[in-house]
This record gives sequence, C-alpha cells and structure tokens, in this order.
Amino acid sequence: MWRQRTRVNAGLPMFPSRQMHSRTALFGRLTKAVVAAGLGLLHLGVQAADITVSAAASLSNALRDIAPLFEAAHPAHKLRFNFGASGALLAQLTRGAPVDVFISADQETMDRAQAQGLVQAAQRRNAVSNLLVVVVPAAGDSSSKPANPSRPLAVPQPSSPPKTLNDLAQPAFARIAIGLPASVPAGRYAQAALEAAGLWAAIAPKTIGAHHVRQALDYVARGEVDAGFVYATDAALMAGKVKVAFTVPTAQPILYPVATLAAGPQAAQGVKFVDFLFTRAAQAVLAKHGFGRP
Amino acid sequence: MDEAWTALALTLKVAGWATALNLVLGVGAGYAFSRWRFPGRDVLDALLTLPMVMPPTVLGYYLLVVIGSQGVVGAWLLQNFGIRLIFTWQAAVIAATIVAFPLVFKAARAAFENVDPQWEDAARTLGLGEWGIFLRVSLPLAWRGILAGLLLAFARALGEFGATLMVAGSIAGQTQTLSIAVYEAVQAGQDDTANFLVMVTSLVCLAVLLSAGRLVPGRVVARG
Amino acid sequence: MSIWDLSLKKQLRGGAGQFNLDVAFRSAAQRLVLFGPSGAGKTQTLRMVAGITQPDGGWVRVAGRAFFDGAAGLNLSPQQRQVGHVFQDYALFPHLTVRQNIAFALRRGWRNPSRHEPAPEADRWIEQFSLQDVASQLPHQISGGQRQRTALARALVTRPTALLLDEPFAALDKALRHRLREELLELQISLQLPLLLITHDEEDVDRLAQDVVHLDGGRVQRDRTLHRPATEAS
Repeated sequence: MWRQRTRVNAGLPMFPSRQMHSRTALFGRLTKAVVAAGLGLLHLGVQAADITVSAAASLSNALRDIAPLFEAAHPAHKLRFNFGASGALLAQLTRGAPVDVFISADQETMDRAQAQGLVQAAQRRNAVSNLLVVVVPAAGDSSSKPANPSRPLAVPQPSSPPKTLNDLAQPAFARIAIGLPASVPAGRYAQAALEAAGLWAAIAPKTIGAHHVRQALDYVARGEVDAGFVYATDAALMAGKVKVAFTVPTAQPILYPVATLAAGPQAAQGVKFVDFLFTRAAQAVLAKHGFGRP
Repeated sequence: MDEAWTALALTLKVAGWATALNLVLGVGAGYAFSRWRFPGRDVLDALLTLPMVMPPTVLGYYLLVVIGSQGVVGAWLLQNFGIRLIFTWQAAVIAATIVAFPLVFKAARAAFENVDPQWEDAARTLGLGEWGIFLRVSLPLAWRGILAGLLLAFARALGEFGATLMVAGSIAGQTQTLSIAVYEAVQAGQDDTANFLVMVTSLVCLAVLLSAGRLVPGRVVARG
Repeated sequence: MSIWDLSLKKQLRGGAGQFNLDVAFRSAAQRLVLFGPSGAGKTQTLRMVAGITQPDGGWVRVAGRAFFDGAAGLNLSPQQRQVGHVFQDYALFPHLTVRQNIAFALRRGWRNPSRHEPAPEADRWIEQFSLQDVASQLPHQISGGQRQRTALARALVTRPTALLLDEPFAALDKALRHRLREELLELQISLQLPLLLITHDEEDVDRLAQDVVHLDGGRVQRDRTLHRPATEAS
C-alpha cells in the first residue's frame, strides 16, 4: 500500500524505502511523546511520600477524620484512601494495586490476602470492632403514608420493626438488603448469622445484593427495601433515615484486621500509619464513630 | 457457569425489550421531529439526546429519584398499584431504553429527513391517509437508516451498566445482566467466572456486529 | 361557467428573501397553461391548487368544486380534492415497480400492492401507455419518457376530476416531447379532463393551451386567450 502511493507520486526522486523509514520514525517519536506525557500526568497526582490505604467502606468517615490528625503528626506524609468492599479491595491488591496499608472488615479477607503472600503477617493486628445490626427505613417513608383505599397494596407493609431474625422471615419483609456475601464481609456475617438460625434458605430469595455495605444502607434509607444488614457504625450515619431494629448476634465478634502490604511502595511509612491507628487520638475518633475497641 | 447462561438470557431479554420500545418511541419521535416544526423543537431535541452524553450514573441517579419508592412516579405506582419498580427487570429495561433512545431517535430523524417530502406529497395527492403514507412511503424509504440506529441501540442496551446498577440492583436471574455479573465476579475474585462471562459477552457483541453487516448492506437505491 | 377560478395570496420565505405570491385568474377553458420563467411562482401556485400548500387567503374552485375558501375557513386536504398531480421530477416511488406505482392509489390499506398481485385497472393504463415491457422494473431502471408515462398513469388511475402537470416534458428530448405532447392532447380530449399545465416552453403553449395565464414575479402578467386550432374538438 505504501509503495503504491509512492508510485502515484511518480517523478519525485524519492526512494520508497526512505519515505517509509521517515514515516515510521515520525510515528515512533509521536508514540514516545504521548507515552511520556501520559506518565508525566500520572506523576502529577502522586507525591513521593504519599501513603495509600485501602480500607473497608464502613471506615470511610472515621478514617477521613483521622487523616488530618496523622498528617499533622507526620507533616512529610499525605494519606490517600481507597474505600470499598473488602473483597473488591482484595481483588485490586491481587492484581498489583500499589497500596501500602489494607484494612479489611473481616478476618477471612485478610486470611486470603495472607495466603496470597500480599501482606506482612507479622504486621497484622486487629484495629477495631463493630456490630452487625438490622435497620429499617425510618418513620415517614411510604409505609406510613395512607394507602389508597380503592387499591389495596399488593405488598403488605410491615406494621412494626422486626425484633429478631425470625421476624424477617415474615412476608411483610419482602426485600432485605444484604452485602453480596462473595465480596462483602457484612454480607458474610449476615449470611452466617442467618444460617446459624436456620433461616438462610427462607430469607435468601428475598435478599437484594449490594456491592458494599454503604449501598445496602442507601437502599434502606431510600425505602427501596424493607430491612437491611449493616454495621452499627453505618446506621449511626443516617440516623434520620434509618432506624436500628436490633443487633444481630454473630458467632465471632466482628474485628477489623489491619496490615501493611509486603510490596507496598511506601511500606515503611505505612507502618507509621498503622501504629498511629492505635494511638489514643485515633482510637477516640473511631469510638466517636461507633467503633469498639479491638 | 449456569449463572452465566442466566445472565445472558436476562441481558438479551432486557436489551430486546429496550430496543422494541425504542423502535416505537424513537421512530415516532424521529418522524415527528423531521416533519413538523414547532416552537422549542431544538431544545426538545437536545433534551431527548441528553441520555447519550450524560454519564450513566448521573442518569441512573435521576431515574432512582423519579421511579424510586419515594420518587414522584415511584410513590404513585406504589400507592395505587403496589408496584415497586426498583430491583425489577422492568427497571433494567427502563434504564436501557433511556440510554439507547437517542441512538434510534437521531438515526430515525436523519433517515426521515433524507426522504424527499415530494414522495409524501405525491402519496397525498393519490388519496392516501397520513398513516398509510408513513407505513407505505416514509418508513420503507427510511428503514435502512433506522435499522442501523436500532442495532447500535441494541448493542448499547446489551452493555448498559451504570444506570442499570442504580435502579435494578443485581439479583441473579432478575436483574443481573452480563456486565454486572462480570463486575461482581471480578470483585469477588472469581476469575474463572469472570473470564467465561467476558468471553460470552464478546461473542454476543460480535454476533450483533456481524448481523448488522448482513442486514444493512452498503447498497444504495438510486433515485428514480 | 368557469372551470378554473383562483385567487391566491401567499407570503413565502426563501433563500433570496421574501417572495409574495398574488395570483388570480378565471378561465372556462379545459386546458389551461400556466406560462412563465423559472422562479415566477408557477409551481407554488400548482401546489396550492393541489392542496399541498395552503394559501394565506383567497379561494380555489375547480370544475364547480370548492377546494379552498379562506373567508369561509374551508380547506380540503389533497386526499379530499381528488386531483391528479404529475410532479416535476415525476416523484415515482423508488422502492416500487412501475406496476406498483401505478396501482398505488388503488390500495387504500396500509400495505403496498404486491409485485405479483393482479391489478386490472393498472394493467389497462400500462397497456394504453405501452409500458408492458418495463412494468416490473424500478423507476431508476427505465427511461425518462417511460417515467413520465408512469407518473401520468399513476395520477389517472384514480379517475381524478382534474389533472395538474408541473413541466411534464422538461426533462425529455425534443422528439419525445413532441410525441408525448400529442398523446397528452389526445388523452385529454378523450377523457374531457380539466388540465392545468405548467411550462416555460412556448411549444407547449402553442399545441396544448386553450387558455394561457402568464406568471412572473408571483403575479399574473396578462391574460391571453389563443385562437383554438381547427383540429380540436371542444
């Protein structure tokens, strides 16, 4: 194709090979320039002393409050947070995400990380504890609006909030939000609790899967579901829109393990952050958000 | 791998319904906009094209606000019919329809604008009513352009993720489309499932493109 | 008793600015020719007689039937007027064969006449205009003269009360023009069909017109009634 083009430009004293060479050279230079620009742009966002922390979604508010305290104590470092469901965060780590500290909402996810050799086991500690609760939409949602008398509602509205897991099996609770057990620890805790009570088979078909615990909370707050499994700390955030119905008994206490990543770019600095989490100042902030001691 | 087939069947069902709805809505709107002049036509055209440029999550949020249980339409549906749209495959269809609508609308409008009005005038002088003219003259002469738009719309509906996630959630067999299934498999670290789903999705997209090539050949009918 | 009775006013906005159409004439002749240079407003006038465009005011009466009356608020749709119309580029439906084009108006439903369905009315016209050889062909496959005849047959198949023709011979060569002109004349005489024809060709005026209206700049220039040729039966 190239050669045909040059033949059409007959009369010009140009050898096809030289024309091809100059075109490829130009293309090569252009590519290098684009790649260099791209890398340069990437570097703009990341300072050399940034510490990257991947943490469970339920910790987002607390950690954001702790960040200025840490940065005041360690002026050379800035914190960058990456929040999500623990399972999703692990998937990122498995694929080589450049993270320094990982805080998971359950032991199982951290165990998987350890099994893959991603975390330094010696650094692993439990940072906080939490409680699993069932929440319902607060009063003032559609359930309290007077129903149209000429058209009875197809779905009976719950008359009172559930008091135990058994209550959730009632038909009045047609939709129950739960984190997807495959990737969300809160969902796993909920499933475990329901299985222990022999209710999983009855309730599983009614569950609406959420991709992280905050999404489950949002579903309840909007009144799209009749109940949801979230952490006590999450429920406190939307006190106006959700009501805690009861605390879910879990076989094991809910403990959040924290560890530094073996391959983290700022692993040494990450240790400083982990240590900071156990200072009185940080623990006070966590307690203020409803987290318990580890 | 059963979930993959369920997700595939659901994805095709949602995309199929969305495209069928857009066939009626998009062609109707395209014809109206191509033939009639009315005040505010340009503004309305821009509004109807908006879903094409808006980020799907923004669209999903608007939808959630409107058809959610506390939204204007959603509350009305809940009060009077006991219908909750969120987390149903119908909500997924609504999301897919809206994001793909501009593709059919724009294509139909352009196709109808390319149909010489003189043919429609000729049909009028021959005694045909407006519906007859639309079905026997305008549509047959515009169908190629419309079909191209429909295929694009189908492909768009197949891949719809952001808006669907917000209003339909992810319920296996109900609203978990292929795109959402891939997302969740990756989140859960289930690489095998993810790979399989991605392969299935890619094959479906390829099939759509190939049939597009068959159905809309490059031939142009010369004007008589 | 006039066959053609028109008074049309229309303000048109085109590329060159505003164009005011103010046309009024009355004629008892069956064959009336609208003559004038291009841009005179002839096609616009014809479209208003056909009902495709609506005048701003005035009236249109053809062969004793009122089509439009601005004062009385009457405006018949083109479908209601039952007037045959042969367009300048013939406007044959490109996706239908010659036969389907001619049979088009015979089918009132939502489906076009099929390619193989018998249509005796259409066949009659195909025979009359010698279109048998091309009856199954598409418009882009046939010659200019054949297209003109197809357009004419299509307009006539509905047995209209009048016939409007917009420069029907303009795209044809001289010999063909002559032949088709004579055919049209014979046809009109045998059908006794009121005919309004637009042309900028003086020969058309000489051969076809029983009455002429000169149009220029959107206005009637002068009326001129021609002497009738001896061969013509009135």
